[in-house]
Amino acid sequence: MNDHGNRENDDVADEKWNDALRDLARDYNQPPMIVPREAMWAAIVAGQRRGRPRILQISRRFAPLAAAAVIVLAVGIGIGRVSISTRTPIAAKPTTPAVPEAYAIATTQQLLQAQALLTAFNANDRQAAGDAKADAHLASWARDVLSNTRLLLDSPAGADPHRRQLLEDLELVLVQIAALSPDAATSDRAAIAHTLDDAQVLPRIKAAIPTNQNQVGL
Amino acid sequence: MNDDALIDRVLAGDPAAQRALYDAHVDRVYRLAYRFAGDADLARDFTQDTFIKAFASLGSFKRRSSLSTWLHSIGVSVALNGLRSVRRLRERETTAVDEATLGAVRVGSEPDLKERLARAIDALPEGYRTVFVMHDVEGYTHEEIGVVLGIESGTSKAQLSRARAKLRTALADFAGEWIA
Repeated sequence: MNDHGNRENDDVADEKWNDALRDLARDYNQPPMIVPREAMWAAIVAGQRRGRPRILQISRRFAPLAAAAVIVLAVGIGIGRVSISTRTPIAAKPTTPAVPEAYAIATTQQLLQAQALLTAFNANDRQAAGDAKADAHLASWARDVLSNTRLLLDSPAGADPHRRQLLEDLELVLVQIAALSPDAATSDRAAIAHTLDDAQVLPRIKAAIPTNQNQVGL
Repeated sequence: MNDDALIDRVLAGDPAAQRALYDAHVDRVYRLAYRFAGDADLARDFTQDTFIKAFASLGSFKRRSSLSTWLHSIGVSVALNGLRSVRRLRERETTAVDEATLGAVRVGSEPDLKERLARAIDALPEGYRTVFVMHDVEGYTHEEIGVVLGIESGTSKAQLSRARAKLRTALADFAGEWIA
């Protein structure tokens, strides 16, 4: 058989394979026939009454894991701090109640990350049409910060009403930045900038970071 | 009522219009969320969050795309972000990840082809999986996928092709009986 004939056979085989794959894949994560419309609508209405988009309810099943993850993160940071600190007596550290301090450290680190990201976003936004590569980088960065922000929201760090409000406002902005595409319209960036200004997110983050933490490297 | 009129009524604070918008789109948004999540609770959460965010930011919707496309953009973003969070938590929960459960072929131990395919789809890189689920499972066109994901339709086609190739490799030992 010549090359042309072989190619035709390959094409037919590929087509058969793709058809079979599509048929079989229709059962992948098959949704139920009945959509829980009313239950979801009730939750949406309740979420709107709270005045802001509700963070994902993943916390229902994963809250203990989220809390553990935040503690691991914070303890790691804490260990780093202890190892570079020469003035703090090392013996005093292990007896300090670990959990509240751990969450406070994790929150501060998270806010420092968010501050750096939003500052970078503002700098990019000031360019006339934005920078596509920078947008892609910011979106990827925002997704990382967003994940950790949600972990914090679902941890005891989110129990304080003021801190929670700040983290939820931050979450909203991060969702928008994470969705930035390389060809994002100027209006998309403007909408984010508007949300930032409207909720005064960056000034509130700066105010929430302890002054002695502003020099901590990221 | 067309989308523009419905949006105008929602923005004017008409709760019935909000519900009408929700009714018109919820099934497809939920369906896609479920396909991504494979879990009823997560699909509900993703769908709810999608609509809450959509209603909150409807005023900034520029109407350059259809309302459905815009809603699906939010929905996909919410679902993917949510799944990333879940994945991270699960990775922290599981100290040793069993590669076999992520779709690698284990000849002879998985008689169910559909189950094997499901695992292989789960194991695809996020971009490939997203396009594969939207195109081959839910029937979106490459143009629709491009708009929803903010990528070129050509990129969507390329990712689908790579996804299929990976699945073909993962299920190679089934291929003979499958397409015979």
